[in-house]
Amino acid sequence: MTEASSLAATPPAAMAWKGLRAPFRSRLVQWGMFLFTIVLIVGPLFPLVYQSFTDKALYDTGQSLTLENYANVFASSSFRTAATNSLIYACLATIVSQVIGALQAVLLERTNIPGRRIIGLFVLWPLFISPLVTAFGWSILYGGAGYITSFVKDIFGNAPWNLQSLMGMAVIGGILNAPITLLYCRGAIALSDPSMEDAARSCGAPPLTIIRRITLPLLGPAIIFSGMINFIGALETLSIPLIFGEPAGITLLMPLLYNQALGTISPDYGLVAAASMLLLGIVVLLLILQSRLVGDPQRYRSVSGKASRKTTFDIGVLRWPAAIFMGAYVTAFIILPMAAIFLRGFVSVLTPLIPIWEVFTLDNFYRLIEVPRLQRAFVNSTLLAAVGGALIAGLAGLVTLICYRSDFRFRGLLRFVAMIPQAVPGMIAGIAFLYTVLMVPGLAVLTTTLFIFVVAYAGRFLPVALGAIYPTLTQIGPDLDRSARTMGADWWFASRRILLPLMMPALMSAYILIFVQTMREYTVALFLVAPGTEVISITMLRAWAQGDVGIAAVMSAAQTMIIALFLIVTRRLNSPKRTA
Amino acid sequence: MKLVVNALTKKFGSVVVLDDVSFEVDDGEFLTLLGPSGCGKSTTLAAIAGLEKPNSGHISAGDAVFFDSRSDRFVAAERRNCGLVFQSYALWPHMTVAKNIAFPLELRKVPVAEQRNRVEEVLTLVELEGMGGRYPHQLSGGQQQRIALARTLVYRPSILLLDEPLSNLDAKLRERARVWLRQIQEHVALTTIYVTHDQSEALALSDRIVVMSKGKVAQIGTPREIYDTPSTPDVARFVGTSTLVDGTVEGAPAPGKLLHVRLGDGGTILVPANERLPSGAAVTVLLRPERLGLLASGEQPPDEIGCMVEVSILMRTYLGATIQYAVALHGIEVKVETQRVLDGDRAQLWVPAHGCSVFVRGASS
Repeated sequence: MTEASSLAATPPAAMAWKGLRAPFRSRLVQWGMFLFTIVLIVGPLFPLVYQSFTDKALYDTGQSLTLENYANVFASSSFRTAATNSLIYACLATIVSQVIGALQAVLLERTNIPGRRIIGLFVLWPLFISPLVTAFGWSILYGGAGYITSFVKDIFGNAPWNLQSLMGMAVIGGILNAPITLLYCRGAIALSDPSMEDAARSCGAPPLTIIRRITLPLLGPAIIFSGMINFIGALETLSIPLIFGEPAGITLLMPLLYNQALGTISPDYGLVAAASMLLLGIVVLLLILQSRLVGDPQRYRSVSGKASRKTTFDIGVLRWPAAIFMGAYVTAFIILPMAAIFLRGFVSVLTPLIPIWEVFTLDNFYRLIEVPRLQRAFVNSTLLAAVGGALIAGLAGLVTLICYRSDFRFRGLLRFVAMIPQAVPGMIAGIAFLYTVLMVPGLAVLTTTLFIFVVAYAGRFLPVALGAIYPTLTQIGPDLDRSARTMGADWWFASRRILLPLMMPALMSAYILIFVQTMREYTVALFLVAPGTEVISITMLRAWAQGDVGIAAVMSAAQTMIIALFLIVTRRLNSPKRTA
Repeated sequence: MKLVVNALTKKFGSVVVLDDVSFEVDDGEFLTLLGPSGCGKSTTLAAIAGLEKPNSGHISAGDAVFFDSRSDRFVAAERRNCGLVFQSYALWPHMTVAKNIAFPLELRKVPVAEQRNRVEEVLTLVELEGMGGRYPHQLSGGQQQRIALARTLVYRPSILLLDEPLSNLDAKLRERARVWLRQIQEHVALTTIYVTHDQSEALALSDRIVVMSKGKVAQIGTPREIYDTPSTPDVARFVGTSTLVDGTVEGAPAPGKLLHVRLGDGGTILVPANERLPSGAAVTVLLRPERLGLLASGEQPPDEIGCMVEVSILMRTYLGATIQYAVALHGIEVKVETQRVLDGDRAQLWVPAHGCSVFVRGASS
């Protein structure tokens, strides 16, 4: 033993413990965040519910309660048609996305097709690019007067496809959602035990048989689960039906709702609210069905905790046609539409009949820089994504801590409430926000500032952010904050000094996700924009609607560039550092 | 500071994890909670630290009442001034060793200059001078364990709680850390509660041991009491190696309060009668392998009370310092540990009366 230290000499009283500095500080933070989240998420739903049961607009006086709005929705033939169309569209789009996604997962993850790493990079693009941009790109290439459509018509007299049909739209929608299926299947493959495949191999099954009999069936739960997500996503889609369906007279629910809420001079508030409520009900039912159908997805994961070696199957000569198929898919459906957008921004007209260099122009680009309205859209969107995204990521970090690392009495309720936005389609969240602003006096002031977006998006993206942060939090052993607590730190101090710093990488991922989502978002924004608070996605949608395809294209290109740049920079910054 | 734990009960749903747990720890005493995993020892520790809220009972340290179910008092962990060293060490990976140790001082608003002195001082105490600038992952397991202890000692907690702090070290290191830990504890003179499932650790370190089993206190006593006179076969089984054989009491107690117990095939042995047992009572006899003796056929018995039984040797296991024999005693397999080397398959088993303990069968388990 070393010399007698003063540790032994110090009587406990000398370092006596007088309890914590501010005893109510932790509770204050917890209650504050709890109430804020509840108001943020549940608050906007009240005006919507109220409006759906009243006979006059909610800013009027002298309303009386009625069920008439609901009766009107059911009586309306346009709603019935739109509902049927939406249902068909969603079914077809889901089939397309599941077939493509599962096929990609097996080919890219479990076989030895050449170039699978490069192809793997491209197939995920649709997740980062705005669905509006993708829709523009498809329209420019494969639409009725599209570049490739014209080219094919020139040669064969007719093009064998028509995107302005339910099937045509479903193909685009399916391709847009296929990456979600791919990610879920990839996750299932990563977690599955390779010994199941090895067992089949050792009893003599050839690779294709193993894929067909073992690999694919094991993907079943992932395919069903992502299928439900994609089905709900398809029901909620506005971009594709708005851009392809509406001009051809094929109306789906979301465009119908959009036109009823914003497109007419005197909207029927009650009708819109009632229809929104019904849609909300359908989505909630589907989500319940999803959880019943699959239950806990954990159940299907193999237990092996070891990171096991994954061998890929050699599918022999078949790998060449498979690679060519995947390459063609990526080129035609992902790279070319994107290239068309960039190209279209720099020509006055895009057609195979005129050589590109003859119609080259920088006009659109100059307008983008010079027109204040367009400029503002860029500044606003970037500011919103960069600063608002950081605020929302921080909020999500705190909410996650309260939900999963505190003894706050209503943490269970908070967990539930924080996930509610998942069940609310973007359009309906937008309508709910609009009605709240109309109804609550004083809120109108907010509509002239970007702050309203931050508030709306905070509610909107909370589940996504939580999903990004929670897994990391479970990796941080509970002893780390418990030890701080036994030493005398209150919850807030332990959270600030121990947990939040350790959660930084997860908060960063959440920030990246929210940044991209904010950039892409357009359904909520449709109901929030005002002169002075323009954002890119809405400005380009309006330009497209007015036939100003050049401006829409150049804005799409710029938006995509911002997202790409942001992802590259953050990836650099987020690369692992000191702590091992 | 004296710690009192009284009638502690904790349920998770319908599972009773702690059932009426009571014990006291004197000022400066080293008390060990010993038991197999799931016996409730860690839950007891968490309840003392304030990380787990029991359903009922009472916990107090000195004059401070930490928990009392009748007055509905529950003091939050951060206001108890306990020091808990976790099995996982729970060193914060984003802070240097010095920052880790200074954390509780910072909470107590100790001036920065003094913080620095205290950190150096405690690092010296745990023999890791000059390591303050390192990050936890740059240290070995043994060093991490000592830093975790340093971080707890630095603020002089009123009670030191140790949750299996040595279980992540390898066997060699563990034995050294054991001696070292006890020295430090005596040096800082803190009331200490130590949780472990390792009986040799408990025997070596403790002033007293609380043996826990299935959420209950099975026995409280000094290491010698626990080892020599276990209160139940369960405690006996858990502390030290043992062979338990069933038998029936035969006749009245012999002179010197000794009993005859008839075993499996009819042979009898002599055991001490620690309570009055009627003839015919079903009992379990505990035999410690190192207390038994094995002699070559025809050898004279040692000069103590006991009995000698002819046995056949079933198996020999060479353990280095000793040899473990499995022998058939009246039809029951019994383990004997001795340094004697015996060839052949016959031998004499010496069962000293005071090397046995006897329990009434079916009374408690």
